Amino acid sequence: MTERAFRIVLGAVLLVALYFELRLVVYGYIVVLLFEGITNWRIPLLVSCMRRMDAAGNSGCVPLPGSRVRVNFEAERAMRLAFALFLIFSYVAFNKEWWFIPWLSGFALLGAGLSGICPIVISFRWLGFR
Amino acid sequence: MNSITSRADAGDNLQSSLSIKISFIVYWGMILVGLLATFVLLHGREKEITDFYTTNANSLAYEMGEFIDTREKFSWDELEAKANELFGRHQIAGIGLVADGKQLRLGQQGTELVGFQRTFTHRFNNPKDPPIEVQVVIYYPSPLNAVDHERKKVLVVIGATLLAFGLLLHRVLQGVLSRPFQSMVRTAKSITRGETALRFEESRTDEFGFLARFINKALDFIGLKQTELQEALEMVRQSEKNLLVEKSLVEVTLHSIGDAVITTDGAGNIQYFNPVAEQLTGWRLDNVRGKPVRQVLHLIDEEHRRSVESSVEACLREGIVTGTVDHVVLVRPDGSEVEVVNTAAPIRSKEGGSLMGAVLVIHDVSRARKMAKQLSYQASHDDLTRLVNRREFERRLAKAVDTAEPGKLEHTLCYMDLDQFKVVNDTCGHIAGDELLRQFAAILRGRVRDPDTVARLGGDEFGILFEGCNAEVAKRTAESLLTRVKEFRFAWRDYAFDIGVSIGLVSITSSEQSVTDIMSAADVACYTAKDNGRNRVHVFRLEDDELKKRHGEMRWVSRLGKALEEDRFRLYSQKIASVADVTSGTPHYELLLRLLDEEGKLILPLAFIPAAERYNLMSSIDRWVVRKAFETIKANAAMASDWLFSINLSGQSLSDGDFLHFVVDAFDKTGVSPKQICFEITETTAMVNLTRATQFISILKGMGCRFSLDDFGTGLSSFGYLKALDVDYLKIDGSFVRNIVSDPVNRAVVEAANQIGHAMGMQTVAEFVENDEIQGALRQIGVDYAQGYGISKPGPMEELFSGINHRILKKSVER
Repeated sequence: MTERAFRIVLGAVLLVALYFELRLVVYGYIVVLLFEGITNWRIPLLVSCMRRMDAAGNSGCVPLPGSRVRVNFEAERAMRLAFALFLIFSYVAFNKEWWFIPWLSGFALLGAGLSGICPIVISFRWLGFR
Repeated sequence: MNSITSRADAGDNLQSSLSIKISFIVYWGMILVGLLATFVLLHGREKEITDFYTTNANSLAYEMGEFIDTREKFSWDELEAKANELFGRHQIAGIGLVADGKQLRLGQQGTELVGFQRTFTHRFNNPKDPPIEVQVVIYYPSPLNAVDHERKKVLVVIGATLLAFGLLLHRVLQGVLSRPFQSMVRTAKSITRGETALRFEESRTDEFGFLARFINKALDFIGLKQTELQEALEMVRQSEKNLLVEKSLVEVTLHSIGDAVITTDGAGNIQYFNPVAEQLTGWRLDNVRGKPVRQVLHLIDEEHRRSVESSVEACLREGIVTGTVDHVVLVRPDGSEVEVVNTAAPIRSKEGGSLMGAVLVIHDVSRARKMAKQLSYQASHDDLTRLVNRREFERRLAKAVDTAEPGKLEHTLCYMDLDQFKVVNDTCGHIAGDELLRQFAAILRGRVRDPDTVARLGGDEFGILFEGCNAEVAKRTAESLLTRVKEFRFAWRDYAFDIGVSIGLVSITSSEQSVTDIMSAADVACYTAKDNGRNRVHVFRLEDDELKKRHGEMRWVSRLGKALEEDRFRLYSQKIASVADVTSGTPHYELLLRLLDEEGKLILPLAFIPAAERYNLMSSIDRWVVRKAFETIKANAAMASDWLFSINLSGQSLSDGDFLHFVVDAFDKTGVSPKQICFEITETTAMVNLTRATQFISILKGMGCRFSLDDFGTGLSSFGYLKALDVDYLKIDGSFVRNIVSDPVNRAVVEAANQIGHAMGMQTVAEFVENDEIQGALRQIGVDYAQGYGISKPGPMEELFSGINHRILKKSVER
């Protein structure tokens, strides 16, 4: 599984959960993201390892031109942590005021998966993440 | 390579960057637009919901009011039925009625519902009936839920729409921009990697197509130019290679060339030295590169020691090939000198182009000049005495003659002849003779001034040119020299010789005189001195008889040469008969020479023999005589097979080393028997050329020839010399025989000669026997043979064989 495909799955799951107001799913979703971000045991990586594929070669995101690694932390992990924090903030804590953030995140992930361009990951890489 | 790679990386980044940027812009643009649209839509939708609730509530209240107004009387049931109908027809959460103390509630109930209460009062037609106040409460679901629901709908719809639109736009942009652009980038990368034949896709009609065509044309143009450049580069490389080969060849040539080669730039500054140049000039190229030639090469004139300009300077100034004059010397840094010849040629950029520099070639001519000097010395000097030779002497004499001026500048020529040289030569050999000449030359050198020229002019002839010296002074010097020579005794082993010298002086007073005349005059003066008793000095005078005689002889030289060419000599013969009986014995004839002059007149030999002897023509004449005599004898071999012919030989022929070979060859060629030939040699000739004469006689006698010693008595030779000559006949000189009858002294001489000859085993022959009286006296003395007019007059040799001679002979016998 590629990161791109995984992002499609992530986006779709989040949108479905939001639409049908499946709060437990969203919570589980947040847990998975946090787990991946903290442990770096990312599902695409695990799947790729299981399929003996080169994870780096299947990254769903093209590195930003001119980006240089300044922070020894994967941008994919940072993206997962960022989305987890967004959801905690906007869905768990302040949903009434920031109700659109989870939707935005869902669409962003789905769009990133479909287009192959993930602005968050690109931004992190631009900032110097690996 | 790194730059290409980095450019390729830049290309990759460019490609990614564009794609990312497009996607980024589209994506976030969509998101922003979506958010904005969502907010706008949701904001409007919430208001619509509220307005709908209000309007709907008012509408229901109004409909309920109208329903009540149409009733004649108030009926709760009808009102309830109407409420049910409205609840069923309108999508509302619930409806509540309060009228006339009664209360009705239909639909949902709860706190989440929002109620819109409308109250109106119904008045019946009957004024008596009291009005009824009706309160209608219409319940709607909470607008938040509606809004939330709307949000979901809007977000899903807009999100899906925009997502689809975004993807579509992304795809479109990819198709329209990214893909062709990336295709171009890929093509560009491939071209960058070296696939130069690759071209951009031109099928598109948009800007990319235009750019592709433009770039392709540019690439074609660049490719064409590149091909041209490569061809030009290849040509340049080939030219460079050829130039390197040429350069190598030139360098090898220059390195191996035997001359010094120096190249300069247009200003005359040194650019190159070949190894020979370094060796010759004593400079290293590193030390002189860039320096002007005139600073490095110090050339001077050999004679005047003045600096001379190098050829390079003249060459660069005039632009033509130039060379220095001869006798130029190159002075090296260490002060040593070398004689050189240098030539400079201009170097031009092309034929007739600008002058770029010059090439200077310096040739070391030291050896050549040394050899030339040596050759010149050898050509102008005598090897034996180291004195100037005749040619050089005549050259200097000519130079002196040119400068002579009457009354102003006078020179004197001194001509010397050693008197005893032949005696020394014959007695002690050539080595002694050579040593005598060397010592005599040393004496001469010691007696003259530096500017005077001392020369060896011939075998024992010497000359001195006294320059700037008149005859009087020269005569004193010559007499001093004579005195010194008189004092000189030449010693060789056991022998000692007094040496004498005859000196002739000629004054050179005018440039009108010719060298030949002066030499001739000096020769005459020398011979005059010799004739006057030797060992003396004679100054030439114009009125000298000897001069006239010499002039006559000189005219004879050309006449004799011409006569030889035209075969105008004739052979005559005169019989030599036995004194006892002139008719008996083997016929013996002496062959005599006559010259037929241009007018056909016979000339006797006394007229031309002295000239021939003086000017070395005797050997040629003797050869003619031998050849002619042998041919005639051969032609008449049948008649003259046992006859004897005497042939006179000169001293010059005896001195001629080749003459003996000539005679032997003549015998071989003609087949004449040597026994038929008797060679006559005068006493004087034999004495002067004793060694050669002895050798000559020995060889030819070995072949069978006989020899006769002619003119015996005139030379007053030593009997010792006479013994050395192995001759068959002794011919007593006619001067003694002619007067034998009247002069008792001559008779005594003849008797003595006869006795000597007989004593030495020779037969004697008397010359000039002109009459019978003389013949009778000779008979008394005992002379063996007689020759003269009394016996037979000379006649043409051919007549001997024609019978005429026999008649003459007979006549003479009768007489």
